[in-house]
Amino acid sequence: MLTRRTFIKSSLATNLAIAAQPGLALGLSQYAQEDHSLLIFSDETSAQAQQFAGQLNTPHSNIEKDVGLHFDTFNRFHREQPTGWITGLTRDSDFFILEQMAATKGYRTVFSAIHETNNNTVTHQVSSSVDKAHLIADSLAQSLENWPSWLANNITSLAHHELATAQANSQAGSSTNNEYLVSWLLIPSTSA
Amino acid sequence: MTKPLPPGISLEQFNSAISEMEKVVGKAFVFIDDVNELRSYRDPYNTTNDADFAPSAAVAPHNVEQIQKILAIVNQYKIPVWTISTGKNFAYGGPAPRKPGYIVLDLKLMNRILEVNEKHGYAIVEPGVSYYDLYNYLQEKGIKLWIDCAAPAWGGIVGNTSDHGAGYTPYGDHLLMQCGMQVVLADGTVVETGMDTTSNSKTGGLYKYGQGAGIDGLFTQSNFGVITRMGIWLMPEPPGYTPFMITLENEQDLETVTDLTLPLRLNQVIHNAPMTADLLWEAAMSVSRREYYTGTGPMPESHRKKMAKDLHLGIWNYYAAVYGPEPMMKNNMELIQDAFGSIPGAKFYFDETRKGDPGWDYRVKLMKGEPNMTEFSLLNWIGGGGHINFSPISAADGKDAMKQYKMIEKRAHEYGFDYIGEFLIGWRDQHHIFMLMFNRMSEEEKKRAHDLFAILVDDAAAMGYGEYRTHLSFMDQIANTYSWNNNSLWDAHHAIKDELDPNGVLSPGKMGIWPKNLRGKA
Repeated sequence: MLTRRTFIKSSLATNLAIAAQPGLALGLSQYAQEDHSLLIFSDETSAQAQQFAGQLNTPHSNIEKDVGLHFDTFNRFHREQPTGWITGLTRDSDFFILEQMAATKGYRTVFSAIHETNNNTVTHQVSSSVDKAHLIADSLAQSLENWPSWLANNITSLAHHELATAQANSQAGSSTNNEYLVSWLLIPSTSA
Repeated sequence: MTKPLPPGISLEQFNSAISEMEKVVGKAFVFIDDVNELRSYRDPYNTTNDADFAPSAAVAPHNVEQIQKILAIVNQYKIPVWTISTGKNFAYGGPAPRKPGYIVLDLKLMNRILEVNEKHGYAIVEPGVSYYDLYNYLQEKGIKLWIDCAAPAWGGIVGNTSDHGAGYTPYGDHLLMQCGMQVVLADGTVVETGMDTTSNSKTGGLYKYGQGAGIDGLFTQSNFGVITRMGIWLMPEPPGYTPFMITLENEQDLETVTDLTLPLRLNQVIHNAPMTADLLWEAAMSVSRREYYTGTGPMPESHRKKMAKDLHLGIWNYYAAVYGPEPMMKNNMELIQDAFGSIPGAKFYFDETRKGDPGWDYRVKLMKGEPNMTEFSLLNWIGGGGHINFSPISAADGKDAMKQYKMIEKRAHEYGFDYIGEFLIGWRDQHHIFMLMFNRMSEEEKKRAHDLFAILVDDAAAMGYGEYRTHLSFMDQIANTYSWNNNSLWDAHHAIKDELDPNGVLSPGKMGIWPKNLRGKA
């Protein structure tokens, strides 16, 4: 009957002890790059978000609609991996909540982009530093349907340290429609 | 952006005050870096300029003694502080202060659950305790008490209660369920209210009043003190719980369902505050606007009807619950089905027939005090959604409900926005929450939303309706609508303010209450 739920994929160090809540099948794996453990969130109703998470080599996922069920995961990651980075390709509301939570724990947003699909065209609106924004938006557009993979492969190198950002749009055809996703990267201020 | 300073304070004085605060709480708990620290004290949903509500610093004390020392410092320098507990009341300003340059007094580190009394059903908590914290505590200890949480539930018990927030179980009137508090006044004096002011008190969480004037309410939606502890009654886990939903086909059914509810509510046949949510509120839990309509302006009727059909939703969608032993619930449900079954086209849903619907699932959780964040899905209705809530009170009366709904819907459409709203029937009143949703990336849309909100305040006042809570931007405008007898109520507020906080350091402008040095200058 209902078509849309929030699905979030999270992954973190395999050796973390997670007390899974009833109805959840939390999947765990580790993805480390440049010495930073990475916690990944993705919207599982979205094929693009799945491509993104899949590229980051996270074999497990959990499926539900309430980002609140992941607060423990978030807090545990922050506690056990204080220098770890957090990324995602999610619904806007999930990013908003996680960004707010992260900010209170000293994280800052170092990259974000909106990926909006209308009339079989995806528009990438990238917020980044002046010298990077257009390059990133163009790279995403040139990756056509594989933009989530490009994003996953490059996400940890997209961090910028200026809050003053440039926005750049780039468009490409898409087989999906009517989707609004946000990709993002949060890092602890001590890493900046 | 250049970081603001507190009003009338030089950089040298500011730095000196900050240095003194660092000695009190430790350098790690005074936040002055605009990029890395203060961004979490902004209002992401404000409809004006980000700088309008930007703090100069934030300080997070660990205990009452540190609060007293901080207040001594800000009194010396005459620097305003803006008190927050968890700071999550987005749509009403979140953690941001009323004016730029205030220092945020962030009570997040005072997050102890001081007592839970299972036998008598209450808890005593500090301001930093969130609904999740208390819920998890009860679960871990196996205590058979329910919380009553806000939706979404990352907010705090003290903050929500003192802001007159409401929930969804029979204990949903949060201030009604508050019992006893501890407050630090601007001069550092610590006051206990109710029974806790007697020596060796054992009844602070049980009886609200004590002897003499009851003053707890003075410290809610105000700036007369800093609440540092609060008692809150908790509902014993009932032997049974039956949530239900009724979908209604016609716009006019709002009047009927409201009128049918009042006697059931007054006589406690329905135990909690029933909610009547419009189609878009419910649809937004499952789909986004763009899946049904990509044009501009409000969604056309034909698209709304298709969406309602696809999602098995009504134009209005009514949620409530009964609680208790099985025979009692059965009896009450029969009365309820008899009453609402008379509405043509009304369809009843229960867990067996609705489970899996995100809109149903989160209401079921809320009505039994299970914290969740699902309501934020509403923000995905449009991309980059931000919102402020317009929240007028009316009688729990069908004609009033229709009158408010038609007025707000007409104005919303006039300004190019969808009507997204719900009605919550309290003991005798009705809260109407119009979620004014806008694209927070669009300056033009933010301005349009701001203008719409301002005109709604005036329209509602002209019709005899006042709001129960509001965003920072509209506190003064709404205060001016409570103007009977030459603003005598606000004169009383200001007299109290001047007496208790002569230097005007505590949350100046909160809900339109200004200290004398800033009065009339907002």
